[in-house]
Amino acid sequence: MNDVLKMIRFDYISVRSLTVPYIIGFIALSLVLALFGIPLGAFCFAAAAAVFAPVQELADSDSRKIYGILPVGRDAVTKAAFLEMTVPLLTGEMLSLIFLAISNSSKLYRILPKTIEDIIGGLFDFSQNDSIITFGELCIILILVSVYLCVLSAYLEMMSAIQNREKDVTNLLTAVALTVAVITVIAALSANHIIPPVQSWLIPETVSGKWIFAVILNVIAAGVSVLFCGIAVKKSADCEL
Amino acid sequence: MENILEIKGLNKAYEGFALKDVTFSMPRGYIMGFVGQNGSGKTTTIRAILDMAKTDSGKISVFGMDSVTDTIAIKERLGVVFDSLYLANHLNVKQVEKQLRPFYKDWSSDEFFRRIKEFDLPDNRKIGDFSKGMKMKLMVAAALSHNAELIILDEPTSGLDPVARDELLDILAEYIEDENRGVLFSTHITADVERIADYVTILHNGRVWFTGTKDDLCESYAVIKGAEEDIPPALKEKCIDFHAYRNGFDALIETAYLDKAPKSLETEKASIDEILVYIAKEDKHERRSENDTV
Repeated sequence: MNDVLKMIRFDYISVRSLTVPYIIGFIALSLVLALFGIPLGAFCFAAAAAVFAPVQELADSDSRKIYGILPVGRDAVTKAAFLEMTVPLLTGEMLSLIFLAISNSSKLYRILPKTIEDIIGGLFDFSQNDSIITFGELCIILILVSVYLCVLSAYLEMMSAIQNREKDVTNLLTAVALTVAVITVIAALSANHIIPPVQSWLIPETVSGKWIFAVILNVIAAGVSVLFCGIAVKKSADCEL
Repeated sequence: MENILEIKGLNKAYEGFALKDVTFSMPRGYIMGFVGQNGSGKTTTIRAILDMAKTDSGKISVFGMDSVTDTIAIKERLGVVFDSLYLANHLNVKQVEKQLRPFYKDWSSDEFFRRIKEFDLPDNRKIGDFSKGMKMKLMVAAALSHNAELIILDEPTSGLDPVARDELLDILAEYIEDENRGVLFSTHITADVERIADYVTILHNGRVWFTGTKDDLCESYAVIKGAEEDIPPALKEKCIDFHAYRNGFDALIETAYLDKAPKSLETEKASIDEILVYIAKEDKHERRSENDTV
């Protein structure tokens, strides 16, 4: 077995009982709700990303010493950490889109009592004319969020690998603050008509355009993760455990 | 005699602490006690052997291989027991076995579970609930299950009750019966070294103060006592931590100088514990007198 896969297996056994049953439960619930038109499954990307999340908790400064005892290269440990983050996130993104599509097309909520039917229809039926957002736009927003999380986690993992997790919280707060600042500036510029509305220049109008945009976003996310992983492998080789 | 571990000129500086020119070797087939006060550099040396700490200079060879370039091949043949497990506490022994198995080519699940049974470890209880002694045994079982040729233990007996300590030392003594193996264990409990070690390396303030066989160490130093006026000045200079009391003095001295000692002075064999205490006290007194001079 490849060293990276060995590390992923090692970490998976560590977290399996802590996360997997809950995530499977969430996916099953998402499926049922999607059939009734409720898009809870849109959050599957976040749930899937949580599969290996406790590794970060378990791998505090002391626990990382196990990586120094096992006969495995430091690069394999770093690569495994990146894969554990990006692969579930991007797989979860696909699940999110599938559940979103099911909830958009399935109208089972119509068999429910009239009051509930009206609420669900009003909230989640994107085919209605007064809907503030279209289904396609919602998909792109979901992909944007997922891709952003992927890049953010890759950045944080890279910084952790270089700085031995000492500045994890600072790095996270800095990255989030920077993101909020950028979004606020864009929203303010857009609201004051200095730049055109975000939807008009960020989200392509045609379906094929949206597909191409989605693929490009994911390729960028994967590319940035590979780049950050490469930097982390290089820099962490000199770090101590 | 082939050395299973060799360290030559190891230097490593941290803020406020440094390993200075650490050099020692350990022949195959023996147990070496790696002794020193807390903070003397034992753990740093072990971390350097495992390539967990980057060295400033020096060379470490394990099984004749370089500890940096061949670290994976070395760890394949090495068992490591730290003072903590570093595994997820909610796992049980079976899950730990599943985790560790793929990393070692020579891993034997049968051997692992045989040892677990032999050590009376429950295989369905969370390892986080294990006592320290049980955790040590688990790590030793893991080391024995991949046929490790060298086991490195960092403070394995500190915090263990006397029965657990005794059991662990028995396991190590049994392990070393195969003369192709070796054990390096760091400790500040010198009674453990006296009991099972063949070789001793004493680390003091980041330097090797002594390295050799336990017998050599015990034969090389003695505690000298008597009236202060009876000790010749030349001999007094050779004493380690000469300490004068109202009724006399005591000090540690190399046995090589004892032929110059007057018969009125008493000498007795120094234990490792006494040796450690004297070198620590001398260091403290030297520092105090340096401060007084300043």
